[in-house]
Amino acid sequence: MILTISRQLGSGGRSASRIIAEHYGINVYDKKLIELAAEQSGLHRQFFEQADEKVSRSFRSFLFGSRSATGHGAASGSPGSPLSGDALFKVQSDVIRDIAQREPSCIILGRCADYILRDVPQHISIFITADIDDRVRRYAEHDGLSDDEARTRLEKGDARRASYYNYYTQRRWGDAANYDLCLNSSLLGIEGTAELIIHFVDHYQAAQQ
Amino acid sequence: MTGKAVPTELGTEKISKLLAKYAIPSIVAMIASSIYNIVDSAYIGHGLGPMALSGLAPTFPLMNISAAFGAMVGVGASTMISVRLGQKDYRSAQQILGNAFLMNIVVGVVLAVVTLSFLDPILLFFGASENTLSYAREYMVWILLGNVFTHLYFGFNAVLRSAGHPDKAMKATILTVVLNCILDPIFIFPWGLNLGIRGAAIATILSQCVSLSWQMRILTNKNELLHLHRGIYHLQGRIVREILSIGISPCLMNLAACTVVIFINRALLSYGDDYAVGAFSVIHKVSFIFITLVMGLNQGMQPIAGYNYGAERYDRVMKVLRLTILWATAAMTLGCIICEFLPRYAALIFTTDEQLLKEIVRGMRINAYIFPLIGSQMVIGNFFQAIAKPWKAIFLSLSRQFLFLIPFLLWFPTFWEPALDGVWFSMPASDLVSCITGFILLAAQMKQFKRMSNEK
Repeated sequence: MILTISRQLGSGGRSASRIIAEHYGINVYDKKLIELAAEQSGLHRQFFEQADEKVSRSFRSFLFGSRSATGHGAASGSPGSPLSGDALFKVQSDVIRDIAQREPSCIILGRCADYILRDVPQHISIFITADIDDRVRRYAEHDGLSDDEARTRLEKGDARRASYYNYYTQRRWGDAANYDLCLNSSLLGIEGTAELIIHFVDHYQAAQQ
Repeated sequence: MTGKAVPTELGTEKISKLLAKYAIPSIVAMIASSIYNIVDSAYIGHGLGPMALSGLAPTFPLMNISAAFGAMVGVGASTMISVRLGQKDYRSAQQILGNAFLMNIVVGVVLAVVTLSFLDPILLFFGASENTLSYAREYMVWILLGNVFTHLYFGFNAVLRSAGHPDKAMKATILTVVLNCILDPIFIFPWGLNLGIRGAAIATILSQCVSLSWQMRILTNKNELLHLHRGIYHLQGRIVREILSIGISPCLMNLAACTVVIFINRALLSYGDDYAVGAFSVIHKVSFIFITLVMGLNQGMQPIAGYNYGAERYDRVMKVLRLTILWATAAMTLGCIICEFLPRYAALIFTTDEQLLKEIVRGMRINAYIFPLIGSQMVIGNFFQAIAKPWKAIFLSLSRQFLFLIPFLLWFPTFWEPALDGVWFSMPASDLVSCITGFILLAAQMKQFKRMSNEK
């Protein structure tokens, strides 16, 4: 069973994933994807980090081509350039497909994995949200920020994820119709959310047999 | 397309082999388009005389503006389509195709209507005179009537390339060029349909229509993964916005290039005469042959330099840069030799009129003074693109034909004797300054490479 989990910043999606992974004894792929992508392509990881889940929306990117995660894909005039956001996304999505084939049970966080693996049968896609106050509190605590600062960063970060997702998938990030299960972690807490997802997965697997 | 996004051979294969593999296809395509550029003018110059040839000059910036807007849709759509095809998302790719189709029609029609309504003032502003306006108008009216087909033809070629059929896109280009070469004389000359300069325009549009119908046959084939069918022709705000936001940058760069030609035409007309304007359009076409060779080399260099930079193989980055500069310099030196020592022969392709020949020879010699340096300037600009330094790349590519040239164009004729020579000399002068700028930027970059290699 492959779980792809997308989440709003500060919704506790990552912690919930860890609990689920521990329960089943499977891997969570998050930042590790970057290392794998760098390894497979031979390109330095710095380029994937710069491109990670963001599409540049600056003035420069408006003038010189916005379509590149790091602002230098279409800007480099050659959408085929190996350092363009588009090419890096393709590398990363190949890595995600490889993982799905090698490890029939794992969790992949974000990075459009729900879309990339949309045709893989044993695959559940999940979207986790949380009330804004909870998200701000969690984010501020984790990064040692003031509430206001945390709130701006959350908004910016989510906008970045949304535009990355919307550009590469032509779907809408967070649109319930894209996912098998959408839930708000504020209601059950992180552990409760993880338990509910485990429940859901067990039920689904039982129904399959 | 569905293969690896980043071919790792870029980091291992021999540099010279890679450059040949990646550059030769683009060079062939570029040569086809520069032949196309020359043929129309050559038939018109020989068949209809120097005033008709000068009449073509103001039509080029206008046609290029139209092409710039076409490329906006073409580049945007093909970039998006290739991202979707990389994910085997054929449904979305087809919606983008449908949107691009409609956008091409809308842009093509709007441009044609707007320019046709103000055609005379536009042509006069772009460098036509009372003597040449009638030729320019007669040619342009027919080109604009076929504008929609031109846009669809170039748009579909971009789509074919991104849909994994670069060979078919190339065949369509060659088909258009060959047809145009055959149809041009039949339509222009008295022994044929005797349509004069109008015939050249009609032949151009007709050749594009033939290629367009062939492209349509490929793209309506249901077995193609990407094909036109009912249900994809709904303009979606989101797709339209994405296409425009990708395409705006190449569009602006192309518009900058058109602006310069307008400035040059106007300067030549006010300090010289129609012959000077006609001479420039011939010189532009001849130098363009060599410039396109360098552009083809650059396209081949980009993925190689980009990949090795990303993989921190700075030795290979420098190797491909050196090799590309070497070839580019060779191509531009060949151009320089032809322009300096055989300008008359090059000019004879277009005209036999003595006054025009004299003007061409003079301008061509001055324009080509520092050609051998331009090759490396162009390569350096593209090199910065490849290694993800878009600011420097854009600065360098604008510097030669825009940032330095326009001030020089306005300034030189005010003190030069005769003033017309000031216009001609502004070209090599801006080339020289932008070459020096390019070398300075490159030297700084090489220092950085050395430091990074040592740190490694």
